[in-house]
Amino acid sequence: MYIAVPAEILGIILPLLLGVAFLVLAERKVMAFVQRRKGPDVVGSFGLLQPLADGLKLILKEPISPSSANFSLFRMAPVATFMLSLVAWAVVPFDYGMVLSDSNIGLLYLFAISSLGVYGIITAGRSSNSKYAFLGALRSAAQMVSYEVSIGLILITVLICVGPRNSSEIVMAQKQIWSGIPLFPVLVMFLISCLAETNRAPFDLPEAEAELVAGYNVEYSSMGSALFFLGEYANMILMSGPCTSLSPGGWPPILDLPIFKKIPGSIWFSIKVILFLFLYIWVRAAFPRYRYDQLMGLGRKVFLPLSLARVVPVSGVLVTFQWLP
Amino acid sequence: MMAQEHAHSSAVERLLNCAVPLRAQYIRVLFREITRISNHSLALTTHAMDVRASTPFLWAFEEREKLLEFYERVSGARMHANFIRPGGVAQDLSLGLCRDIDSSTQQFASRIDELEEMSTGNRIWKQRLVDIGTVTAQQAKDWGFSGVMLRGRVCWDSRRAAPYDVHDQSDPDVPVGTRGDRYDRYCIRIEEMRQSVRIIVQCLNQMPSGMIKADDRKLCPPSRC
Repeated sequence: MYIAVPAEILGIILPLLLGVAFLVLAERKVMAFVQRRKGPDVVGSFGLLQPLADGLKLILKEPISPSSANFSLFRMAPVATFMLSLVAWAVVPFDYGMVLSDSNIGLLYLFAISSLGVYGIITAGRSSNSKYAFLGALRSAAQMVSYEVSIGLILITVLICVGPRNSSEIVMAQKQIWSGIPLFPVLVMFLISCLAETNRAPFDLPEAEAELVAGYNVEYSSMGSALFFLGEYANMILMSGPCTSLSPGGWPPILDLPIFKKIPGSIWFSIKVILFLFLYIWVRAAFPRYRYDQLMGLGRKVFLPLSLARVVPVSGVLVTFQWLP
Repeated sequence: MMAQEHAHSSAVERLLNCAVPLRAQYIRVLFREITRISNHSLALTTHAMDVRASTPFLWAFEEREKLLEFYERVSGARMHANFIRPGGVAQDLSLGLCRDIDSSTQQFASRIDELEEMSTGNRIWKQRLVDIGTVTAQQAKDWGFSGVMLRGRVCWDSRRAAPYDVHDQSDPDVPVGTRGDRYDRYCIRIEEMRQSVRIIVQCLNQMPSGMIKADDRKLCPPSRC
C-alpha cells in the first residue's frame, strides 16, 4: 500500500504533465490550422519537440522579480496555483475503480479546489506590488468566483439526477443514457462556465496582452510564468475531466459493442477529454473577447439565474414523478 | 498606397487643367477599388484582432496577399506602388493581369462571406461593437469626415457626389448606416468591399485600349521601352 499510492500518484501526475506540455503545442497547431497556416513545425517533426524547447528556454531564463515585491508570497503564488490544479485530479475516475480516491464527496472536493485556485491568483497579483498585476488579479478573481457559483448550481442539477454517489458511480449511473443528452442545456452552460472559470477565451480579459498587459502574471518571468501557464492549461484539462465524467459519460465507450469494450476505459476517457479540449481551442480561435463588464454581466445576470432556473424545475420534476434516485 | 497617389495626381491635373486618357482612367479606378478592398480588409480584421478575434485577420491577409501581388505585377512594389502619377499611370498593365484579376474577384465574394460568418452575427462581436463609438451626423459634418465615418449616418459618397475619372460609368450601391456606431461602420465596409468587386468587374469589362499617359511632355515623362 505504501508503494501503490505514490505509484498511482505518479501515474496520474506524469502523464498529466506531459499532457499539459503537449496541450500547449496542440493549441498552437489547432489555432494555426483554423487560421490557414501551420503552427510550430520546425523543432521536431510536426513541431513535437516544441514543448521541450519551450520548457528548456523557460527554465534557463533569469528569474527577475520586482524589488518591492513581497518575496515569499511572490515565489509561492505560481507554485500554489500549479499544485492546486494537479491535486484536484485525485477524484477524477479514469476507469471503473481507477480513481486515486473514490470518496463520496468527490465533486465537492473538486469544487473546493477550484475555489482555492482563486487564492493563487490574488496572491500573485497582490504580492507583485504593481498596478496592472493587482487590477488583473482582482478582475480575474471576481470573474472566477462568479462563474464558480454557476458551476456549483449546475453540478447540483446533475447530482440530483444521479444521486449522491462516489465518483465512479456517477459515471456508472449514466449507463443507459449519458446525462449530457437530457441535460444538454446544462452541459452547454457548464462548458461556458468552465471557459470562464479557467480564464479562457472569450473570457480571458484578465490575461489579455493588449488590454491589461498580461494581467496578474505580468511581473513573473521564467519559471514563475511557466508555472502559471502550465497551471492554466492543467486547469483546462482538469475542467474537461469532470465535464466528461458528468456529461458524455466518462469512461464507458460510446456504444455498448464488444469491440469497443476491448479498448480500455481510460482510452475512451482520454478521447472524450481531448474532444472537449479541442472545443476549448476552437472557441478561442473563433470568438472575440468579452469586455469585462459584459463578462461579469453575463455571469451574474445570465448564467446565475439560468443555473438556478435549471435546479428548480429538475428537482420539481424528479420529486413529482418520484424519479429521485 | 494608390489611393493617396490618385488623390495627389487628381489635384495636380485639376490645377493644370490636364486631361487624362480614358484607358488610364479605367486603370486608375480599377486599382483604386483594389486598394479599397485591401484597405477595408486590413481595417476590419485588425479591428477584429484588437477585439481578439484572431482568425479573420489571417484569412483577410491571405486575400490581401493576392491583391499585393497585383500591385507588384503592375508597378514593382507591393505596397508603395508609385504607379498613379499626374497625367495617367506609370506603365501599362502586363499581359494576363486582367484575366488574373478577374479570376481572383470570382472567388473573393466567398472570402467576404467567410469573414462575415465569423463576425457579423456573433453576439460577442455585436456586444463589443453596437452603440460604441457613435458619431452623429452633425459631428461627422462638423469634423469634415468624408468616408465610411460619414456614411455611418449621412448618405454621401465622393464617387457619386463629385465623380472623378470614370466613376460615373460604374454604378455601385452606396451602403449607409443608421446608428453611426462601430457595428454600422463594420457592415458598411463589408458591403463596400462587395461593391468594389462589382466595380472591378465592370472596369475590366469596359476597359478600352489606348494611351496610358497624357500627351503633355511637361507633365509626364516619356515611357521607357
